Order: sequence, then structure tokens, then C-alpha cells
Amino acid sequence: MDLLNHIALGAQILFTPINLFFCFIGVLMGTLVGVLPGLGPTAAIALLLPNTFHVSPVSAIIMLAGIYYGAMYGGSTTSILVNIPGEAASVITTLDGYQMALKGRAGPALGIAAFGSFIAGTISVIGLMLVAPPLAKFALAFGPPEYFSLMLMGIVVLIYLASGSILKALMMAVFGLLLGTIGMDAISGTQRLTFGLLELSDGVGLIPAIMGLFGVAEVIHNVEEAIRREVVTSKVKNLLPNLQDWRDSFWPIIRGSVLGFFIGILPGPAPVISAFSSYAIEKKLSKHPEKFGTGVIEGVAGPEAANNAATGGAFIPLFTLGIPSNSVIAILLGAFMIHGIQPGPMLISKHADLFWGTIMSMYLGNAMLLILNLPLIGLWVKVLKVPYPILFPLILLFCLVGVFSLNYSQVEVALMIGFGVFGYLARKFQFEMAPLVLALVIGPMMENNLRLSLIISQGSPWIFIEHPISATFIFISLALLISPWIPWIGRRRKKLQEKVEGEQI
Amino acid sequence: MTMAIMSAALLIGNLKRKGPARPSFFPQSDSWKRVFLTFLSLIAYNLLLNPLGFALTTFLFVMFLVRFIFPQSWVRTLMVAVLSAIFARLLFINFLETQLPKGFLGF
Repeated sequence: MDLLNHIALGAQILFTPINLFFCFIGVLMGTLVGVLPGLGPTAAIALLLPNTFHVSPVSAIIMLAGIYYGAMYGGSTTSILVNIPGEAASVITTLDGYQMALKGRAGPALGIAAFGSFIAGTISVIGLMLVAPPLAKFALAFGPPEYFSLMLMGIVVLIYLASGSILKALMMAVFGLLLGTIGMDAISGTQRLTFGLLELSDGVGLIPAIMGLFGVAEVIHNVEEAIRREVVTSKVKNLLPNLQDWRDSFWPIIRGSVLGFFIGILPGPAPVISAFSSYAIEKKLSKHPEKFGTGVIEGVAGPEAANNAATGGAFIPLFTLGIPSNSVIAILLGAFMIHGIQPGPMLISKHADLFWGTIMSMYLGNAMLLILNLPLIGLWVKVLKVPYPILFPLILLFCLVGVFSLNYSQVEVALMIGFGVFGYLARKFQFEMAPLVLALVIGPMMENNLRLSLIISQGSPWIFIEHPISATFIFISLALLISPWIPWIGRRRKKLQEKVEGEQI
Repeated sequence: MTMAIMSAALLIGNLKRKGPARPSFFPQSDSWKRVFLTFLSLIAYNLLLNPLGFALTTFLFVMFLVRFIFPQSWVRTLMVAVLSAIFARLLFINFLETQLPKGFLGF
């Protein structure tokens, strides 16, 4: 009955005109950035964050969450019609989706992608609703040593899952931690590495960093050469998949949802990984694996369901532990802090309105998306036809204004441009951005917990091993770091890497 | 400090190892020009924002990028630049109430 009460509370918060409006804006923006290649949900959320300062935290989180799962819907449209992934999680959809479009079955492909996303989104919200509160209760037992070890494990898992070299990912993470130490020392109050700049005493801003790394760097990368896009314009009709399509894709959708949800909980670019794994599983289970890649509907339904379910799963560590699992969630965490909400295991009980309001908005948002994406598909096809030469100055403009309006500081804009240069070059040498961003966000939290633990133990580092939960986390991290040297695990990881080849997060 | 040394060590270790052949740094021979000009215009925007004001800087910025990165016709350029300056002005200042510098022209 408790659950019903909470649902009622959530609905009460959601069904106010202002929150409905923000939910709608969120999913609309999400679809838009999903459709547009070269602008992902990370950059979009970072762009809109400064503009949410004068609304209530619930509305802000509802909108920002909407962008995240909305982008998963939009991304499939571009993948299917243009053969360019609208965002990273839809890469795999291009394989079969575009082939279906070439065969004149763009309609059912788009339809099953939207329905699959809807079903998966709903399943993962239910999962989130059921799993998060008990987990948060469990997490109440965590002290500083446990938090430190958990965050360490989070970073290590992300490094381990890096699509390129582990060493490079490790370097990015360490660089991120280093950037995280800039600013005022939280315990003794000394200024570190600020070079006398007042703007740096709060640390390197997350928003300038993300806008630079994801927004600016991405645009600059696209500016290198003129992309030609060929939209499949043969009329998109028959959006409703027929009975046979449903029969083929029902189980892939369910499997994709469950898989996506659990992968979502793990740190890392969950939507991307879950879409890839779902595709691999469907191919293995299929009676006709040789047909994958020629336009089979299971190859669209499974991954699309998985990437949507992963967004729901990704909220779990945020709501229960206050630890981000990927860069989008990291910005949401930043949003919590800006709005004065302390993330952590107390969040669900202390800010019940926020948690349940957001959950309810995710139900409704998924329904809104279904409407936005099926009858209005023509609109998104038109958006796709806006030529890039006109689009990219506007994206850059949004980045500039977004960062400037944070603190009206030119130093931060310069910082963003600097991160843009860095991100552009790093991308050239196949470094990944995700470990850097995650480390930048949780670096200061890790440091605080490390120092608190050491104060508790009076300087003895053994405290991390003496606490059983913490010891488990440390052990897992160590095992992950060592495992690439063990030949057969290393080989398997290589294989996984080859599958994810060419992936840009 | 240890972290800095560690990443430096990793960098050197990585440089020594020969990776697989990479595609050439720029996909097209004139790519560097576009990349360089785009960065330059970002820096210029940052510097000009205060003296010139939001609307005018935005107009110049969009005009420059549309005209010179992937050259479009002047008519199209001007149309896009004027429209985006007006819309950005309405969106950010009037609707979102962002405090952006107005510059010497006062708009």
C-alpha cells in the first residue's frame, strides 16, 4: 500500500500544468537532439541546465530526465532513415534499420523502434521503482570508506569497459581526477592549482567541461568534412508493424528490456553497451542468424528496447547512492547540487516528491514520446533536412551562451573552448571522454570520502580492507584491473572491443 | 602530484609502443582551415561579447561561420544570421531572462 501512496504522491506532483509542460519540453528536446546527429543528450542537458535555475528542482529534474530517455527515441529515427546514428546508442540500429528502410519497410522499423522503446521504458521505470527504495535503505549503512571504495570501483568498471585501450581510459580517468583537485581544498580550505584565478576556486566547472568536450569538440569534428546525408525519402507509411513483426520482435523487446535495465545499473555508457549486447544475443538466439544485417526486425527491436531500458537502470545509482554512472547522469547530479538537494541514500525518503514525481513523469514521458514519434515522424524527417552548414553555428551559439549565462564569466567560456580543443585532439587519438567526465565529477567526492575515512582510522589505510563491504568493492576493482593480463579473459575482452569497434561515445 | 607523474609515465610508455596505422590526421586537405577558423571564431565571440553586445556579436558569429566554413550564398547567410540573432535575443533575454551584455548599442 505504501507503493500506491507513493504513486499517488508522484502523480499529484506530475499533474500540475507546470510540470507537465516541463516534461513535454524535455521529451521534445530529447527527441530533437536524438534526431540530430552530432548533438547528444549529454550536450543537450548541459545546455539546458543553466536555464533551469529559476524553476523548482522537481520540474528541472523532470525535464532533464526527459531529454535523456527522449534522445533514445529520436536516435533511432536518424539511424533508420539516414544510416547515421543520431546518437551513440543507436549505432547498432543502423545495421538492420537502414536495410529495412531501403527495402521500403521504414515504417514498421520506426514503428517497432518506438513501441519497443515504449515497452522497455515502462518496464525499466517499474524496475527502478521497485529496486531503488530497498537499495537506498541498504546504502544507509555505508560510511566514508564504503563510498570511497564504491566510487573507485565505478571508475575502474568504466575504464574496464572502455572501447579502446584500457591504458588510455586510465589516463583520462587520472587526468579527470587531477582536474577534480583544482579549487579550494574542502577540508583545510587552501587554494590548489587555481593560479590566482577567482573563477577556479570552486573547481573546474562541470558544465564548461562537458560543453567543451561533447558540444564544441563534436561540432569541430564534424566541421572537418562536409557530411552528405541521404535521407530515405520514399514515403514513410504503415507505421504500425503487422502481426508477424510483432511475433518476431516480442521476445527480443522483453529480453532487451531486462538486459538493458541491468546493464544500466553498471557504470559506463550503458545505453550503448546494452544495445550492442542485445543485438549479439538476438543474433545468437535467432533461427536465422545469417539474415541479421539485411533488415530483420529483431535487429531493430531488441537494441532499441535495450538502450531505452538502460536509461531507467542508470537512474538507480543516482537516486540510491548519489553516484553517477555515466556522463548524462553526472550532469543530473550536478543539477541536484545546484538546486541544493543532497544526493545519497537519504534522497528518496527526504525528497520523496522529487523521486516519485520524476518516476511518474517517466511513465507519462514515455507515452508522450510514443505520440511524438509515430504520428509526427514527418516533422522529424524535416528536421533532418536542415543542412549542417546552417545548423552547426547555432549549436556552437547555444554552447557559448549556455556557459556564459552560468556565471557571466568569460573565464568559463575560455575554459569551454580549451576543453573543446582538448576534446577534439583527444578524440583524434582515440581517447574516451567518459572516464574523464566521471572522474571529474566524482573526484572531489572521492577525495572527501578518502580523507574522512583516514581521519576516522587515524591515518591507517587498512580501514578500506577492514570494512567488509568496502573490501569487496576494492577486491572487485583489483580483479578487474588485473584481469586483462590473464590471457583468456583478455582475449574475450578483445573480442568485445572488436564488436564495439568504431564506437564514439 | 603523483597522479601527474603517473599519467606522464603512461604517456611516455604509450608513445613508445607502435599503434596500428591511423588514418591521416585530417580527412580532407582543407580541413585544418575550417577547424582553425571555427576555434578562432569561438574565441572572438568570447572577446567581443562584452564590448559589442549579445545581438550584434551573435549576428557576426553566425554570419562568419555560415559564409566561410561551408560557403553558402550571401542571401542565405544574411537571412540565417539575422533570424538567429533575433530569435536568440528573444529566446535568451526576453523568454529565459538571461542577463547577457547589451553592449554599446543597447540591444
